[in-house]
Amino acid sequence: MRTAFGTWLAGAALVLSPHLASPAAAFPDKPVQVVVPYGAGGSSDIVARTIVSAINDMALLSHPMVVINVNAGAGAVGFQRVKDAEADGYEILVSHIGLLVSGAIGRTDFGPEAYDAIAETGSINIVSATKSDSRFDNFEDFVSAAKESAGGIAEASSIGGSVHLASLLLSTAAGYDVRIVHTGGGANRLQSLLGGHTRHTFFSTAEYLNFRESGVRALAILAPERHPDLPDLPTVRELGYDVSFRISYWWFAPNDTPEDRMAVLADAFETALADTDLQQTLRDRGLVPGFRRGDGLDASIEAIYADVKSYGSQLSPN
Amino acid sequence: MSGLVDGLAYLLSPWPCFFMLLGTVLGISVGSIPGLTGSMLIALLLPLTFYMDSLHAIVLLVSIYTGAVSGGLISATLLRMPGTPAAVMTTLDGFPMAHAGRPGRALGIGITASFVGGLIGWAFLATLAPPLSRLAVQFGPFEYFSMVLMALVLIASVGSGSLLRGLFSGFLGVLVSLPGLDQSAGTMRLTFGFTELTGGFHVLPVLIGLFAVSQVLNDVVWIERRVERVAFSLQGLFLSLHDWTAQAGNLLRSSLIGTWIGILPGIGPNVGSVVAYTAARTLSKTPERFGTGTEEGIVAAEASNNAAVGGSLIPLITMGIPGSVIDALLIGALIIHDIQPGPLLFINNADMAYTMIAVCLVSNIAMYAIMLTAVRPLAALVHVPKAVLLPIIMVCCVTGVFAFNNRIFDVGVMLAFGVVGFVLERAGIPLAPFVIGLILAPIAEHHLRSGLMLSAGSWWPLVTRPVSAGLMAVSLACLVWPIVRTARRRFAEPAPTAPP
Repeated sequence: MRTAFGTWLAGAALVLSPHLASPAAAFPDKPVQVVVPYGAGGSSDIVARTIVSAINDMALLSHPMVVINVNAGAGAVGFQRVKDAEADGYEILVSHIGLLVSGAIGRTDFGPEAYDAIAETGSINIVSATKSDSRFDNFEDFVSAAKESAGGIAEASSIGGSVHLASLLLSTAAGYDVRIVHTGGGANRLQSLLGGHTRHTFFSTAEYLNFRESGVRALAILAPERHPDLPDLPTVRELGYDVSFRISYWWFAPNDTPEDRMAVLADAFETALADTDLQQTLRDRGLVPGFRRGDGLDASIEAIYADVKSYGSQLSPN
Repeated sequence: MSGLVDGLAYLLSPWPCFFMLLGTVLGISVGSIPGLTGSMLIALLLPLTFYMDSLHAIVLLVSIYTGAVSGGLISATLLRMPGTPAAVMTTLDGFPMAHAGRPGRALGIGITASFVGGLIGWAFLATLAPPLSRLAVQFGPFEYFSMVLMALVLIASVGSGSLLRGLFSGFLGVLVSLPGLDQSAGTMRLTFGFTELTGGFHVLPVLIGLFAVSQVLNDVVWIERRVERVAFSLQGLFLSLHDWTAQAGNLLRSSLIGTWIGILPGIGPNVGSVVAYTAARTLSKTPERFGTGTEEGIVAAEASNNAAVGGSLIPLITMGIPGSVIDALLIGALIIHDIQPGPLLFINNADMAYTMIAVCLVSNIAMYAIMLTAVRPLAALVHVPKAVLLPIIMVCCVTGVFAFNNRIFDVGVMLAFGVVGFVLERAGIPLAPFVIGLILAPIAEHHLRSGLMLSAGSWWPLVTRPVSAGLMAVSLACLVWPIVRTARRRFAEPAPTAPP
């Protein structure tokens, strides 16, 4: 039924397309829908809405962008929706490493190759953290204790999530073992640490900046350089572990979206991200603003995807 | 304390007062319309609050929260359709009572219980927030599991009818909660290759289908039948002294349960009312009357869900941990305004902290006044011809469920469960255990698996951790007590007669 309808649609589009393709109709001639594959009020949603409202305020597109939340299956339903959308640039996806994990562990039967990347608009770093009164004074303490107990230290995590991936990268590089306990999102991991149920976890910098006064303490940051808001926090690279990990925000259109439309959208993001007010707002939300597009972006996503895939089976332990 | 007085005074100034009243009325409205919920309205308003003064924004959002949790009881009582998932337990006794010709009484009890529950939850928020949230974080996965288990073991005993039918219904509810993302493994299960199923069956479309759509179907089937005009009276809207003394224990217990469940991170008013209702039924002298329009049932459901509002704000204000879905949205709103919920809130944004606490109280009082005033026109709803009412309700259900996640799939789920609910009811299978299975099973599973990861597979902490052991003992007692009671009655009455 659905396929028949799809064929009919495709046929109708073929017949109509010569009339539609008049050069006068500049893209976009109606609002562009941005699919946020997670819930309203979450960190991805806040980042997406902040950038979208900047683009709309500056009127960078001839029609406003609108945000739609499709929060189901840890993003899978939203991923599929944009992948299957018409490749006309009117329905785009904002996502991050969650899309790559989804493809790598088979939650979806596709990964980032199902899309054309429009732009990267900043990233968020991950910190290793423990309870404030923990006996781990620094990251080295934690590593040596973890090595000693060989899997005895419980770490609050979100299985298949970015903090889980960060944990795998770091434990492999540093050669220690922890016991992964699935507790869920940032607030749940905070509760688990504070209640003394687990002794270590990872937070995004945005989460950590929110949570630190509640009684948790960061040990190290998984970033190439120190974070401006956390100048005393060493990077794991400084401590001798060759790990760098960040969650970048990517905007995707379905495969085969026309080049000129991709360019219109990428230009809008580029101009918005050059605005110092938006940069400051993003920093206030714990992000490191930054912009990338084109081949460099494709190569970067591909490299991260290869990395994620190599941890595939460990990311879904059952 | 002076901060709280300032907060209350602030709410009496024109704009905050306006937003408080607006929020409460909006909340009651979306709460009373099946399909539309407070979290939906708050999510829709979130981008708008960007342009508002941060205090005004939070006054508006918290008032919506209070209103929405209370408003659900109206349609639950009069139409047997929970306006909001938190009111699902209210339908069980509210509707039978209204149907028996006492809609005023049913609404009056529900509204008063909501008010008292809200006050008790608020009292804890205003006085004991920091120590309570410290206590709540000590609650580990095993404690959560045994607490939820306590409510789950009572699954069969909720609602009238046979044990077997209850168990079957509960089992169906558990089954429906299973497909989708298996959080603890990060993989998909039981999706049979359908991408749409990876999101599982969300509670909202399922509940709206089971209760609202199935009721619409039911009403349509019998639309030809002459509706017997129930003697409509608002008698008993205000509780008498005798009512108060009769319900005092139940009010207090249900409010305490609601508050505590609100404080626990991740679960909110829905779970609060389920647990309080099962507790009230188990401890009642006349458990067999639950589900037939007993006052105790309405009191338990409504006191607890409103108490959970104040309770769930406790971890939000003191630690930045959301106690429920709406609280997660509130945190989003605060972050948009560059305000950090957490222990520093009282230092950096004391006005914000005290305003939240104050608005929780004032909007509860406003809710009480508004709902009591509106009872007469609302109760007239039962006299609106079904041919007019049903299409409106269906439109609200479909739009609400679609808007919830922008998925037509959810609308299909709602319609399908409408048919399921209709069929189950026809077959004499109670819906209440279904809801309990659906809502509680995922929480039990999540925490049990989390706990087993923590203990490296050992089940012993369930009985070696004192709180968990205590809760397990209560579960066991709850299971055994009805059997003992029946046996004792048999013993006392040597010639048992069949109940009428």
